[in-house]
Amino acid sequence: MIDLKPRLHNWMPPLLRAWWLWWALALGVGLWAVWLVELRPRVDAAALPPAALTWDGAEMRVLQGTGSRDGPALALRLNAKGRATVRMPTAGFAAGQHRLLRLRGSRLDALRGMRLIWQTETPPSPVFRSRAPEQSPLLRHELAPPGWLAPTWDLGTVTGWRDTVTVLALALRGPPGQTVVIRALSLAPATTAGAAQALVAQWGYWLPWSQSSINFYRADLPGRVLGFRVPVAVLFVAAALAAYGLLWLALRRRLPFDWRVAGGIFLLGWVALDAPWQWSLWQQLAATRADYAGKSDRQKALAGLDAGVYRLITDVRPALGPAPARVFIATGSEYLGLRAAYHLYPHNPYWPRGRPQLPPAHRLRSGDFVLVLRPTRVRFDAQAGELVWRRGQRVAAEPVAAEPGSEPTAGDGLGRLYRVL
Amino acid sequence: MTTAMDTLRVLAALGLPWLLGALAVHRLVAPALPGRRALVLGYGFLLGVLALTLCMRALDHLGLPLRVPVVLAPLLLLTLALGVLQWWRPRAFGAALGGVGPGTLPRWQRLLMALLVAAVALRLAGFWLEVSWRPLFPWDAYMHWATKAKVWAEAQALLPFVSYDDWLAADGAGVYTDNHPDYPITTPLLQTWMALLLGRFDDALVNLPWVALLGAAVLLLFAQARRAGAGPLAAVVFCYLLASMPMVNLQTALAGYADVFLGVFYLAAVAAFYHWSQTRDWRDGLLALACAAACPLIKNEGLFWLLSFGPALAVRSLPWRWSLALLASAVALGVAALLLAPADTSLAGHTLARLDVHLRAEALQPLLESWFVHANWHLLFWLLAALLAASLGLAGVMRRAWPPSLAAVGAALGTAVALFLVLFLFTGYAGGAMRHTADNRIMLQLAPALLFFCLLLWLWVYQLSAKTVAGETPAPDGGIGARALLDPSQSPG
Repeated sequence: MIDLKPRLHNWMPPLLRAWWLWWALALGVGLWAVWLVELRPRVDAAALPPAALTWDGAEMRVLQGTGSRDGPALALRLNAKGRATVRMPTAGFAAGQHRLLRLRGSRLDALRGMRLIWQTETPPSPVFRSRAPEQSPLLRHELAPPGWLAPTWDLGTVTGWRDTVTVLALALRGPPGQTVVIRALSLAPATTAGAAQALVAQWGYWLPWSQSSINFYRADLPGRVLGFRVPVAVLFVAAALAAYGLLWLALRRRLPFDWRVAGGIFLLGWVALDAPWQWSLWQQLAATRADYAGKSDRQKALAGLDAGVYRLITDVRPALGPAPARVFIATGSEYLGLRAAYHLYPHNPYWPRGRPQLPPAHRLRSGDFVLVLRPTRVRFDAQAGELVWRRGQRVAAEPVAAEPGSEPTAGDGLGRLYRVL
Repeated sequence: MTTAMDTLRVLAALGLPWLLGALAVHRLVAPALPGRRALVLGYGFLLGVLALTLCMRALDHLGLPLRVPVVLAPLLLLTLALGVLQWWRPRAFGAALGGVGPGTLPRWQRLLMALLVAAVALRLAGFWLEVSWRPLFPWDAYMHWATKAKVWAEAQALLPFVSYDDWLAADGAGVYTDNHPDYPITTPLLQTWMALLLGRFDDALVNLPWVALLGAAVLLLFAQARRAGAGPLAAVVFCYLLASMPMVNLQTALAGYADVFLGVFYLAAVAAFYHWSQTRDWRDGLLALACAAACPLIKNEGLFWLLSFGPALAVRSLPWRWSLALLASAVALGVAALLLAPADTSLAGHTLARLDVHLRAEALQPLLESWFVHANWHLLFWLLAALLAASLGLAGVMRRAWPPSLAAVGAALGTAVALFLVLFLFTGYAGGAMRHTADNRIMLQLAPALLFFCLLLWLWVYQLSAKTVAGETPAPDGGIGARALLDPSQSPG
């Protein structure tokens, strides 16, 4: 049984009574535990490390997008679909000996995604006869977004990163027409320092706000043994606390339990998780500033994701007259329906989420408006001058022009406004 | 573009209810409390916002238009009256660090505190800019929260929002509709107030109260932590933990949801309840009552969190056998009601038929992932689990029961978490846990209070272990022994 009432009578050198010393020692144990679980399996200590493979941007072959050489760098412009692909000139190398992928370049943070594409060849068995080396299909791996260090990825646990790599390419996604500069791509052998650098680089990354951002924050570490940041931090904290607890148990007659050590270990674990989060908040703030700062309400709305809907609503607003006009919104897109309704208030929009796109025809009155947004099952029969929807529902209507005398508005092709007659 | 006039109007819109609330809390709370200044400011914001929205409801109920002068008049009168009272019978606001002079703390503590305060301040400043620049962004905010504010600000009246069917039945005359017309209106009223003072509905600036809310939450947690016996450093550390939890940050930066408001009000209610249960001071009771009663006015789930104080009161007031019997009876009654009640019985805005009550075990793993694997809460749930294990372990080894006040708070939060689990493991909301579309948002309503509970557990474990090591008998309830927490000059042993 643990003696919880030790008598502190034995002498101890003053230095060994310093709480920060035990704190530092425990932190060292915590880091060692992380090294043991996350980094050691990636380092092949037995093999002599081969030289790193490096391809300059100028050496790369552009398969998608357009590229122009600038010295050793490649200025790569994404095509109209926002894609570009470059292939490395390689005669083949052993994947297992080259696990750390590094990319050097600029404007990479403008990208929305990167994917490594490769093909491998399984060497013929030295024991059993086989006709020819076996080729794998093209393999793909989504690279986590660039983090707070130069983009570095550990391919050690990536499925299919084995045998001899004969084809290697990098596919980029981003805004159409965006230009990025690639200076070099290199594959280095797994060393302790390299693996640690990859982990630190992967620790902090930023993804712009999306509609799901409000719901959760996963902080995953793809390809890692523990898979997420929190378990790695917990491993660090638990190992450090266990080390301190064991030390205290062993020396409890000489060393008082010090909450500063335990608290300091926990706080450092929390900060280790919070630092990349704070960094991503700053990255987001910079992006938000670039998108919206110094703009009027209208300019902000036009810079948003739903600019098309906003433009359409702004165009048709004069035709609606003074608020509140009754506006039925017919669309199969939740996002468009919601955003259109939001922009229409303080008019009186009706967008029934999870229900038929329009109510029965007898619910519509003369003078009501119907905003039809694609995709939709509501169509306008121009010959009959009627809006038609499911089960033969129809109502007399006319397209509404934004300005008297102009063409009925189509708002970026998103949809059209009709007035019920 | 935000002009200087916009900034002034925003500051006035935030400052006036805050000042009113702060003056009211200042007159209410006892004169000599650790962390009093932070307490006044933190609770002041919450009560000011509450008073403002209640005032707007009352004015509309009386048939008065929600024009700026009409809303301003009662607020200004009340503020003026409290200001005159303060001038006539002045009261000190208390020390900045809550009763401890900065000079009495070791240098490393001052440095660490400065770093943590700077980290929190920097984060708040970032949120202020993010919210000022970005137009309304998150889904529910434009689906059913800000919709009402947009209409009310334009009409300067609380026009009714009704269901889709009622809207069709009324031909949309004089009524509006959105996806949740039955949701409580406190946060839309707050956005309406911002829009009224701004003179237009700017769907970025109307969300700035969310940033102020986080500031108020930090202040009130600091004050209540100091009052609970935490040293200045420990209190600041817990404030940093609160201000840095990603889910709290997400609902601040992407402002527009009501969950974070409910979370802070529930934290304020739990913390005030803890102090009331320790001191039986009616002023703490009043703060707890006001904040708890506000919960259902913010979101429908607030009703359940309000009910969680029932078991807490039982634990605090009755012998434990009676409490246990009462709890068992309440659970049995609840289960029987769920089984026997008609399917169209409505529970906090949802019918039993829609809730479709039965076990959904597949939602347990995603829930545990959200708490222990994903970074939604950083290490909050690991801290809670470790402190619960440590406190129960120490209590078992030393044969010491939890102090009654701690047990009461534990009963409230235990009930709330149990109700949370019922919601996600036994109703149709399990889908929200499996896709993580709802579980973290609902947990956000409890997480700040759970952090306060962590603080209480830690203080108790610390106090117990410290006194045990020193060979003393622990106090029956949380005393002030832990005030010197992390102070090397007074560390145990």
